[in-house]
Amino acid sequence: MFPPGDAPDVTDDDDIWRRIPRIPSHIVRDHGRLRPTSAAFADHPDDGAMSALLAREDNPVRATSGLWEGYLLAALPARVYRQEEQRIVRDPTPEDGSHLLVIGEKTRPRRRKWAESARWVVEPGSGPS
Amino acid sequence: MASTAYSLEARDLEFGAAPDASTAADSRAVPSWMEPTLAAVLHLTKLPPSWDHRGARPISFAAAKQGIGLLCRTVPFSAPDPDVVPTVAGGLQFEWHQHDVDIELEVQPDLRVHLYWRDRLAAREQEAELWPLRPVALEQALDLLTQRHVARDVPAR
Repeated sequence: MFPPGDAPDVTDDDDIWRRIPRIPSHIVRDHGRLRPTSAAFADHPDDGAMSALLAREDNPVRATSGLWEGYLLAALPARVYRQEEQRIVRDPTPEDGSHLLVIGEKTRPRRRKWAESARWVVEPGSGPS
Repeated sequence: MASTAYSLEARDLEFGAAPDASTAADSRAVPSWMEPTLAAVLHLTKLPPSWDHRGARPISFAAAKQGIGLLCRTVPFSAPDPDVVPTVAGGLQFEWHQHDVDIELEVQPDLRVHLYWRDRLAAREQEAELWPLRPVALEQALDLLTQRHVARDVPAR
Protein backbone atom coordinates (compact mmCIF):
# COMPACT_ATOMS: atom_id res chain seq x y z
CA MET A 1 0.00 0.00 0.00
CA PHE A 2 1.39 3.36 -0.94
CA PRO A 3 1.71 6.19 1.55
CA PRO A 4 -1.05 8.70 0.87
CA GLY A 5 -0.54 12.07 -0.69
CA ASP A 6 2.10 13.94 -2.55
CA ALA A 7 5.15 14.88 -0.45
CA PRO A 8 4.62 18.59 0.30
CA ASP A 9 8.29 19.19 1.08
CA VAL A 10 9.34 18.07 -2.38
CA THR A 11 9.03 21.26 -4.38
CA ASP A 12 8.27 21.51 -8.06
CA ASP A 13 11.83 22.69 -8.63
CA ASP A 14 13.39 19.75 -6.82
CA ASP A 15 15.33 17.48 -9.10
CA ILE A 16 14.23 13.86 -9.05
CA TRP A 17 16.86 11.34 -10.06
CA ARG A 18 16.15 8.10 -11.83
CA ARG A 19 18.79 5.39 -11.90
CA ILE A 20 19.44 4.17 -15.43
CA PRO A 21 21.10 0.78 -15.90
CA ARG A 22 24.09 0.62 -18.17
CA ILE A 23 24.22 -3.18 -18.25
CA PRO A 24 21.75 -4.18 -19.52
CA SER A 25 21.59 -0.86 -21.27
CA HIS A 26 18.62 1.42 -20.90
CA ILE A 27 20.35 3.96 -23.13
CA VAL A 28 19.41 4.67 -26.73
CA ARG A 29 21.00 6.69 -29.49
CA ASP A 30 18.75 9.58 -30.47
CA HIS A 31 19.94 11.69 -33.39
CA GLY A 32 23.51 11.78 -32.24
CA ARG A 33 23.00 11.94 -28.51
CA LEU A 34 22.57 9.29 -25.86
CA ARG A 35 19.50 9.40 -23.68
CA PRO A 36 17.50 7.03 -21.49
CA THR A 37 14.96 4.83 -23.22
CA SER A 38 11.31 5.38 -22.44
CA ALA A 39 11.39 1.87 -20.99
CA ALA A 40 13.48 3.27 -18.13
CA PHE A 41 10.51 5.25 -16.85
CA ALA A 42 8.07 2.40 -16.43
CA ASP A 43 6.33 1.38 -13.26
CA HIS A 44 7.70 -1.64 -11.59
CA PRO A 45 5.53 -4.71 -12.18
CA ASP A 46 5.46 -5.63 -8.49
CA ASP A 47 4.53 -2.36 -6.82
CA GLY A 48 3.12 -0.27 -9.65
CA ALA A 49 5.40 2.66 -8.90
CA MET A 50 8.67 4.04 -10.19
CA SER A 51 11.66 4.24 -7.90
CA ALA A 52 13.52 7.56 -7.70
CA LEU A 53 15.78 9.67 -5.48
CA LEU A 54 15.52 13.22 -4.17
CA ALA A 55 18.60 15.00 -5.50
CA ARG A 56 19.05 17.57 -2.73
CA GLU A 57 19.27 14.82 -0.13
CA ASP A 58 21.71 12.68 -2.04
CA ASN A 59 24.82 12.85 -4.16
CA PRO A 60 25.72 11.19 -7.45
CA VAL A 61 28.66 9.22 -6.07
CA ARG A 62 26.61 7.62 -3.31
CA ALA A 63 23.62 7.06 -5.54
CA THR A 64 25.71 5.10 -8.03
CA SER A 65 27.79 3.04 -5.61
CA GLY A 66 27.40 -0.35 -4.01
CA LEU A 67 24.55 -2.27 -5.57
CA TRP A 68 24.13 0.54 -8.07
CA GLU A 69 27.71 0.81 -9.23
CA GLY A 70 27.87 1.46 -12.95
CA TYR A 71 24.39 2.96 -13.07
CA LEU A 72 23.74 6.35 -14.58
CA LEU A 73 21.51 9.09 -13.18
CA ALA A 74 18.93 11.04 -15.16
CA ALA A 75 17.23 14.07 -13.63
CA LEU A 76 13.86 15.73 -14.12
CA PRO A 77 12.25 18.40 -11.96
CA ALA A 78 9.38 17.18 -9.82
CA ARG A 79 7.17 19.59 -11.76
CA VAL A 80 7.51 17.52 -14.92
CA TYR A 81 6.14 14.46 -13.21
CA ARG A 82 3.36 16.31 -11.42
CA GLN A 83 2.24 17.90 -14.67
CA GLU A 84 1.59 14.37 -15.88
CA GLU A 85 -0.63 13.36 -12.96
CA GLN A 86 2.09 11.72 -10.89
CA ARG A 87 2.37 11.81 -7.12
CA ILE A 88 5.80 11.94 -5.52
CA VAL A 89 5.88 10.09 -2.25
CA ARG A 90 8.67 9.63 0.25
CA ASP A 91 9.74 6.02 0.64
CA PRO A 92 13.07 5.90 2.48
CA THR A 93 14.77 2.51 2.47
CA PRO A 94 17.77 1.22 4.45
CA GLU A 95 19.90 1.69 1.32
CA ASP A 96 18.45 4.98 0.12
CA GLY A 97 17.36 7.57 2.64
CA SER A 98 16.35 9.88 -0.21
CA HIS A 99 14.22 7.22 -1.88
CA LEU A 100 10.95 8.30 -3.48
CA LEU A 101 8.16 6.64 -5.35
CA VAL A 102 6.65 8.27 -8.42
CA ILE A 103 3.09 7.05 -8.51
CA GLY A 104 0.60 7.40 -11.32
CA GLU A 105 -0.26 5.96 -14.69
CA LYS A 106 2.80 5.98 -16.92
CA THR A 107 1.42 5.98 -20.39
CA ARG A 108 3.81 5.56 -23.28
CA PRO A 109 3.56 9.23 -24.33
CA ARG A 110 4.43 10.27 -20.79
CA ARG A 111 7.39 7.93 -20.62
CA ARG A 112 8.66 9.16 -23.97
CA LYS A 113 8.35 12.77 -22.84
CA TRP A 114 10.38 12.07 -19.72
CA ALA A 115 13.00 10.07 -21.58
CA GLU A 116 13.46 12.80 -24.18
CA SER A 117 13.70 15.62 -21.67
CA ALA A 118 15.72 13.99 -18.89
CA ARG A 119 19.10 15.53 -18.10
CA TRP A 120 22.11 13.40 -17.32
CA VAL A 121 23.65 13.79 -13.86
CA VAL A 122 25.88 10.78 -14.29
CA GLU A 123 26.16 10.32 -18.00
CA PRO A 124 27.22 7.56 -20.37
CA GLY A 125 30.95 7.47 -20.73
CA SER A 126 31.55 8.42 -17.13
CA GLY A 127 33.15 5.96 -14.78
CA PRO A 128 33.46 2.22 -15.23
CA SER A 129 31.15 0.56 -17.71
CA MET B 1 29.27 -8.22 -41.68
CA ALA B 2 27.72 -9.00 -45.01
CA SER B 3 30.68 -11.21 -45.87
CA THR B 4 30.26 -13.34 -42.77
CA ALA B 5 29.27 -16.91 -43.48
CA TYR B 6 25.93 -17.15 -41.81
CA SER B 7 23.88 -20.23 -41.31
CA LEU B 8 20.84 -18.60 -39.78
CA GLU B 9 17.95 -18.78 -42.17
CA ALA B 10 14.37 -17.75 -41.86
CA ARG B 11 13.09 -21.29 -41.57
CA ASP B 12 15.38 -21.96 -38.61
CA LEU B 13 13.49 -19.41 -36.61
CA GLU B 14 10.09 -20.08 -38.11
CA PHE B 15 9.87 -16.56 -39.39
CA GLY B 16 8.75 -16.52 -42.96
CA ALA B 17 10.02 -14.87 -46.07
CA ALA B 18 13.25 -12.92 -46.25
CA PRO B 19 12.65 -9.18 -46.06
CA ASP B 20 13.61 -8.23 -49.58
CA ALA B 21 15.04 -9.38 -52.86
CA SER B 22 18.66 -8.77 -51.96
CA THR B 23 18.61 -11.62 -49.48
CA ALA B 24 17.06 -13.92 -52.00
CA ALA B 25 19.77 -13.10 -54.52
CA ASP B 26 22.51 -14.33 -52.20
CA SER B 27 21.44 -16.65 -49.43
CA ARG B 28 24.60 -15.85 -47.48
CA ALA B 29 23.95 -12.13 -47.44
CA VAL B 30 22.81 -10.93 -44.06
CA PRO B 31 21.61 -7.41 -43.36
CA SER B 32 24.05 -5.49 -41.24
CA TRP B 33 21.39 -4.80 -38.61
CA MET B 34 20.77 -8.48 -37.99
CA GLU B 35 23.90 -9.67 -36.26
CA PRO B 36 24.13 -6.96 -33.58
CA THR B 37 20.40 -7.15 -33.05
CA LEU B 38 20.36 -10.90 -32.58
CA ALA B 39 23.36 -10.64 -30.27
CA ALA B 40 21.61 -7.99 -28.20
CA VAL B 41 18.43 -10.02 -27.94
CA LEU B 42 20.34 -13.15 -27.02
CA HIS B 43 22.19 -11.24 -24.32
CA LEU B 44 18.95 -9.94 -22.88
CA THR B 45 17.33 -13.37 -22.76
CA LYS B 46 20.14 -14.43 -20.43
CA LEU B 47 19.45 -11.73 -17.88
CA PRO B 48 18.79 -13.14 -14.42
CA PRO B 49 15.59 -12.42 -12.51
CA SER B 50 15.71 -9.02 -10.81
CA TRP B 51 18.31 -7.70 -13.24
CA ASP B 52 17.43 -4.19 -12.05
CA HIS B 53 17.88 -5.17 -8.37
CA ARG B 54 14.19 -4.45 -7.85
CA GLY B 55 12.56 -7.60 -9.14
CA ALA B 56 12.49 -7.01 -12.89
CA ARG B 57 11.25 -10.05 -14.77
CA PRO B 58 13.63 -12.10 -16.89
CA ILE B 59 13.13 -11.50 -20.58
CA SER B 60 10.56 -13.82 -22.07
CA PHE B 61 12.02 -16.09 -24.73
CA ALA B 62 8.67 -16.08 -26.47
CA ALA B 63 8.78 -12.29 -26.63
CA ALA B 64 12.33 -12.41 -27.97
CA LYS B 65 11.28 -14.86 -30.65
CA GLN B 66 8.25 -12.78 -31.51
CA GLY B 67 10.41 -9.67 -31.79
CA ILE B 68 13.10 -11.22 -33.93
CA GLY B 69 10.51 -12.80 -36.17
CA LEU B 70 8.78 -9.49 -36.63
CA LEU B 71 12.04 -7.73 -37.47
CA CYS B 72 13.02 -10.40 -39.97
CA ARG B 73 9.71 -9.97 -41.75
CA THR B 74 9.68 -6.20 -41.80
CA VAL B 75 13.08 -4.53 -41.47
CA PRO B 76 14.56 -3.71 -44.88
CA PHE B 77 17.97 -5.08 -45.76
CA SER B 78 19.64 -1.66 -45.68
CA ALA B 79 18.03 -0.39 -42.51
CA PRO B 80 20.20 0.78 -39.62
CA ASP B 81 20.38 -1.39 -36.53
CA PRO B 82 18.05 -0.66 -33.65
CA ASP B 83 18.88 -0.25 -30.00
CA VAL B 84 17.43 -3.15 -28.04
CA VAL B 85 16.46 -2.64 -24.42
CA PRO B 86 14.73 -4.84 -21.87
CA THR B 87 11.54 -3.88 -20.09
CA VAL B 88 11.06 -4.54 -16.39
CA ALA B 89 7.93 -6.52 -17.24
CA GLY B 90 10.00 -9.07 -19.19
CA GLY B 91 9.58 -7.76 -22.70
CA LEU B 92 11.82 -6.10 -25.24
CA GLN B 93 11.86 -2.73 -26.93
CA PHE B 94 13.50 -2.01 -30.29
CA GLU B 95 14.24 1.64 -31.01
CA TRP B 96 15.48 3.68 -33.93
CA HIS B 97 15.94 7.44 -33.60
CA GLN B 98 17.66 8.91 -36.60
CA HIS B 99 17.07 10.74 -39.88
CA ASP B 100 14.20 12.59 -38.20
CA VAL B 101 12.39 9.31 -37.67
CA ASP B 102 11.63 7.77 -34.28
CA ILE B 103 10.42 4.19 -33.98
CA GLU B 104 9.70 2.35 -30.75
CA LEU B 105 8.56 -1.23 -31.04
CA GLU B 106 7.69 -2.92 -27.77
CA VAL B 107 7.11 -6.66 -27.58
CA GLN B 108 5.41 -7.45 -24.32
CA PRO B 109 5.83 -10.72 -22.46
CA ASP B 110 2.26 -11.66 -23.39
CA LEU B 111 3.37 -11.18 -27.04
CA ARG B 112 1.29 -8.11 -27.66
CA VAL B 113 3.22 -5.64 -29.78
CA HIS B 114 3.01 -1.89 -29.49
CA LEU B 115 4.32 0.51 -32.13
CA TYR B 116 5.03 4.21 -31.89
CA TRP B 117 6.58 6.07 -34.76
CA ARG B 118 7.09 9.69 -35.65
CA ASP B 119 8.28 11.50 -38.75
CA ARG B 120 9.68 14.73 -37.37
CA LEU B 121 9.88 16.34 -40.82
CA ALA B 122 6.24 15.76 -41.60
CA ALA B 123 5.12 16.30 -37.99
CA ARG B 124 3.31 13.01 -38.23
CA GLU B 125 3.08 10.33 -35.58
CA GLN B 126 1.21 7.13 -34.98
CA GLU B 127 0.74 4.93 -31.96
CA ALA B 128 -0.95 1.58 -32.21
CA GLU B 129 -1.20 -1.94 -30.99
CA LEU B 130 0.31 -3.92 -33.81
CA TRP B 131 -1.07 -7.08 -35.29
CA PRO B 132 2.21 -8.91 -35.87
CA LEU B 133 0.96 -10.81 -38.88
CA ARG B 134 0.03 -7.62 -40.69
CA PRO B 135 2.42 -4.96 -39.49
CA VAL B 136 1.64 -2.37 -42.16
CA ALA B 137 2.35 0.65 -39.99
CA LEU B 138 5.70 -0.78 -38.94
CA GLU B 139 6.65 -1.46 -42.54
CA GLN B 140 5.78 2.11 -43.48
CA ALA B 141 7.90 3.51 -40.66
CA LEU B 142 10.86 1.29 -41.43
CA ASP B 143 10.67 2.01 -45.14
CA LEU B 144 10.78 5.74 -44.46
CA LEU B 145 13.72 5.34 -42.10
CA THR B 146 15.62 3.16 -44.55
CA GLN B 147 14.98 5.47 -47.50
CA ARG B 148 16.45 8.37 -45.59
CA HIS B 149 19.27 6.24 -44.26
CA VAL B 150 20.31 5.12 -47.71
CA ALA B 151 19.73 8.51 -49.34
CA ARG B 152 21.88 10.35 -46.87
CA ASP B 153 24.57 7.67 -46.98
CA VAL B 154 25.64 8.38 -43.45
CA PRO B 155 26.98 6.03 -40.82
CA ALA B 156 24.46 4.41 -38.51
CA ARG B 157 25.16 7.13 -35.85
